[in-house]
Amino acid sequence: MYQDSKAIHPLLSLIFSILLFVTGLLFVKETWFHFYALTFIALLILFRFDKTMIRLIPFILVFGGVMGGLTMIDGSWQDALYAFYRVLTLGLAGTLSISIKPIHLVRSMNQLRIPRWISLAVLIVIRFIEIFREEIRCIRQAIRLRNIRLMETPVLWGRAFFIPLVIRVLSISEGLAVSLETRGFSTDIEGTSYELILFRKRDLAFSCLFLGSLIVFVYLFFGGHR
Amino acid sequence: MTKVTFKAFSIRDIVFLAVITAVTLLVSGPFAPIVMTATKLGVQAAAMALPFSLMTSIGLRKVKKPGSLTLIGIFSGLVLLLMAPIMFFNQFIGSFLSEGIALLLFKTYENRKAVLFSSGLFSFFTMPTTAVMNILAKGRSISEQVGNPFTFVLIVLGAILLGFIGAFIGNKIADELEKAGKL
Repeated sequence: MYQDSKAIHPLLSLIFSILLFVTGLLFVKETWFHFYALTFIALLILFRFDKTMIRLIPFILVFGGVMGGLTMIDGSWQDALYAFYRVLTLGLAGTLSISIKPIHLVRSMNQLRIPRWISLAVLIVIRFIEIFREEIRCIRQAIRLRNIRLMETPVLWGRAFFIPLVIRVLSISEGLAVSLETRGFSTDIEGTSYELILFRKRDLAFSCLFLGSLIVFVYLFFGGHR
Repeated sequence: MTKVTFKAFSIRDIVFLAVITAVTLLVSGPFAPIVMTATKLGVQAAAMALPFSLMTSIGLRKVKKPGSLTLIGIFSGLVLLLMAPIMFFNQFIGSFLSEGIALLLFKTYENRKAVLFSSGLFSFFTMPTTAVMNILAKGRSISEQVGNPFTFVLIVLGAILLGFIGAFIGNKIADELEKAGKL
């Protein structure tokens, strides 16, 4: 059974992340936005997302600073602050979504009977980004060894980069497809899950507090308390 | 007049499209931070046009089934959903529109022009969604997003041109691989 004590149910994390992102962007110009941000920061800390939040602080400060700075070129201080708030919203939503483990998301998608080809593809994309980062590093090293420079011979550089990359894509995907087929994996057969991702009391508590807080701010927004 | 014929995707097709999506995201990755902060409509599309069209055109040359580009859009959108929820709609609607129009015009991916058109205009078709999302979520009007009309037209033309250049290069690479018997 699913025993990751800190994480919220992957699907809940995803839904709440989207809600937080959309409402955050909607509320950014409200006078009470800082209360909104503080409420959800407190909620995330309460549910032990503090380490993820600390990891995101440099991104929020740098990216928010750049966004604010660029906005100030043809805008006011107020506009720059709104730009920073938008990045803060992205950071808050990101805290929930990056805490999701891809395999847990895929398993919960399977439990919801979302077609297996979708969950399989998502898992492949997430997993293979890392693998191909390494492949690209090797290809670039080989290019450097052959003394091919992008600025001097761009066409040759393109051939030396893209052709080996596509060859690797073809061979890796072929190998992966064969290994899936030999294990009886098919797009039209229903499979079983190695681990059950269940809703827990922690998920219920988080959902109640999250939705309760959000309803208050939605009421403030539509009630005209600006 | 031939009709668009939909065929089921095999596990090989799904795996290849997923892997090509991963590479597309990785190749376009270095461009993303440069244009992330841009406030003008179309800048992101123009920056992403070349890597996206190049890799997706190779994908379409291998899996010549209607729906392939939409699948690439769904896969990349689902992964980007974890980072920025708006990107899912951007990718999905962009790929769907681009593929839909290409197949309406050329019916099948056996026709190279369909591959060129479909992947070349993928980035361009993400612009309407970006504009709508900016209005809904950020409250920025179309005129604010467009700014100077002349610059906007240049950006849009740039996005289309870069898209077609990328798709053309992708087709050339696919031709070479086909000749070598690899594709």
